[in-house]
Amino acid sequence: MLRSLGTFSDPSLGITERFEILQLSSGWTVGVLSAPLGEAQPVGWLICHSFGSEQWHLHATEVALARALAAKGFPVLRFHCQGYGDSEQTDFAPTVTSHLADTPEAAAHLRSLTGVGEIGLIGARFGAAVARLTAADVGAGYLVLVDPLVRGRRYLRQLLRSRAIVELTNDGATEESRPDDPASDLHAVLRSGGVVNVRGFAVTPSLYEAMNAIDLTQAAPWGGSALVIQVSRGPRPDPSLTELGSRLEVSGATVASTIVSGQYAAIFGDGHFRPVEGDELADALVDVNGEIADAVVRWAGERVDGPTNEGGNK
Amino acid sequence: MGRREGRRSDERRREQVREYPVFIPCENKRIAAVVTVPEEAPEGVVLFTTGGGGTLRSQRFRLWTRAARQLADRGIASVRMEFAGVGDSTGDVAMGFRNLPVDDVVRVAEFAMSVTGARRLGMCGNCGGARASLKAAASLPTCESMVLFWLKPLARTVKGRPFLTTAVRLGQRFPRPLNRFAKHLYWRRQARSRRGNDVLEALRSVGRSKDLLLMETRSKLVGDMPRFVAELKANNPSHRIEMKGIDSTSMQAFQSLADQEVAVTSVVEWFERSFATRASSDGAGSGEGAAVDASELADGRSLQSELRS
Repeated sequence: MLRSLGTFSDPSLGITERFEILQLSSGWTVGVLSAPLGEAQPVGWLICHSFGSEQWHLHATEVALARALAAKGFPVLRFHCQGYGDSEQTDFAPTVTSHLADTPEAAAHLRSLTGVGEIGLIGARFGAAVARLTAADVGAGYLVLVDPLVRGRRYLRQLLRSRAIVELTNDGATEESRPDDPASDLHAVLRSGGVVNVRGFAVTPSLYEAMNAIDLTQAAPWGGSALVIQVSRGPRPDPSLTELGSRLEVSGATVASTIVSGQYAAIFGDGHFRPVEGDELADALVDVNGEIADAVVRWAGERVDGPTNEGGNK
Repeated sequence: MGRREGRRSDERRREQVREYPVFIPCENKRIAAVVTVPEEAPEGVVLFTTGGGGTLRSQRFRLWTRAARQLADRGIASVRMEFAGVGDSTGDVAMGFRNLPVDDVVRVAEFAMSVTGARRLGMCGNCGGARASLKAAASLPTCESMVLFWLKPLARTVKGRPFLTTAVRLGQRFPRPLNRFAKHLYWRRQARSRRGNDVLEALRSVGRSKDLLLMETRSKLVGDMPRFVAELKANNPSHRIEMKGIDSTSMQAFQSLADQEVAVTSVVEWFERSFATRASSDGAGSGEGAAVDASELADGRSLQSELRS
């Protein structure tokens, strides 16, 4: 009975979703396969989730993408890397390496579950870095990078700064948040072998080093088709994403880019359920997520079916 | 726990614990959940809910996943759910302290008892999930025990209170002691008003028939709850009623590593004791049959028979 409840169909959306137990080298984990009710496209998509608390904050974005793509005929697999959500190992602390190891295996599951000939990878923030860094290994022909972290150093700076903000806003209420080290000294703490609690996740020196070493502009050559989406409050292009696009083109990729902007775009990757009217909580990023999904579906459709009258975003 | 020891423990658990991710039909939507069952017939089943911040079924830092598996090691089943519009659930988000998804919680609780065959229900949640569980418990007579994090009777979710925002900004211009005194006066007035009484009344009602563990932070939003709980405990000696402090505020949401451990341990030990005590006192251990007709939910077979087949 329970197994029969592991799937549902939604004729109004034209999709079906099914929980899948995926066996990875790191242990089993849970994934959700979204698929069209009608004929499927020959390209399947794997969603690479982000790191730490961004994993749950960006989940709504990933679900919106998966359902929108499935509604347009594309099978999509989203899954928990080891150490997240419902994955097997309860005491596992995820690392950059574990994300990079689990992703190609999940891609193999996507191929075997759907029989698709080609696959594409989608990721937001850190998940975009995972997608870019594994694209060549998994033989992905397509890549969607949503608000990608281009350099780990900058991402770390943002993470550590967010920890400092937690301290200030909460008057240093938790034990781990109390040390006398201001945000500027947290890098020194990590370099000297200390562990820092960043919003509930223990950042170890090895994780710090691995994150610091990420630089997508120096990633291995890859020659597929990529869409880079900037998520920001305003329409001004982010120079780091422009540079990333150029480097991708130099490495042999065809690159399109677009900007999704909105009132709440600044909290992309952070908590986004908040009171929007009276006593009701709602997802403040629902419009941003919808725009991202629309942009991806339009772009993916053009790659597979050819350009439509709606035009591209280049 | 070391990595190797953790791995061994995970291997043992894999042999004993089974997990089933499901989409539970609920009106015109599907509630995503994971059912965790022990090898043997469960002593009871615990329903885990989360707050209104869009938290996934595993809870921040996987606290509910960890607790669910430890409970299964102790012979207790569980279901961890995502509210409508959150995580893998379908539907629209509808969450507010005045509009809690109580019906969905009742529905999933009935489902949990039906599929596991357990006769005893426990409920565990935080913030909005805690309040929804508290209200749902009134219509779930099988619920025997609850663990509620951050009920915060004086808390509200209201957008844009311009007067209050301005007052807070003005207060920040004054010397710190003066600002603190003003805040003290404000919260004392809030506690003395009738705000939060609906939560306390629900607690009073539930406290007559269920074990209650309340995990609260040292926040003004708690109001008079400590005194209220002491009275409740005195008036209901046949049930365990306790209030514990937890350092994290709900805004920090378990960000302290120490609080994460306290949360999991407290939940597991509480339900283990609740179900063990009740089982030995009334002589009825695990449920052999479903309390609710499973045919309403699916094909009419309980998980018990499926597990044994």
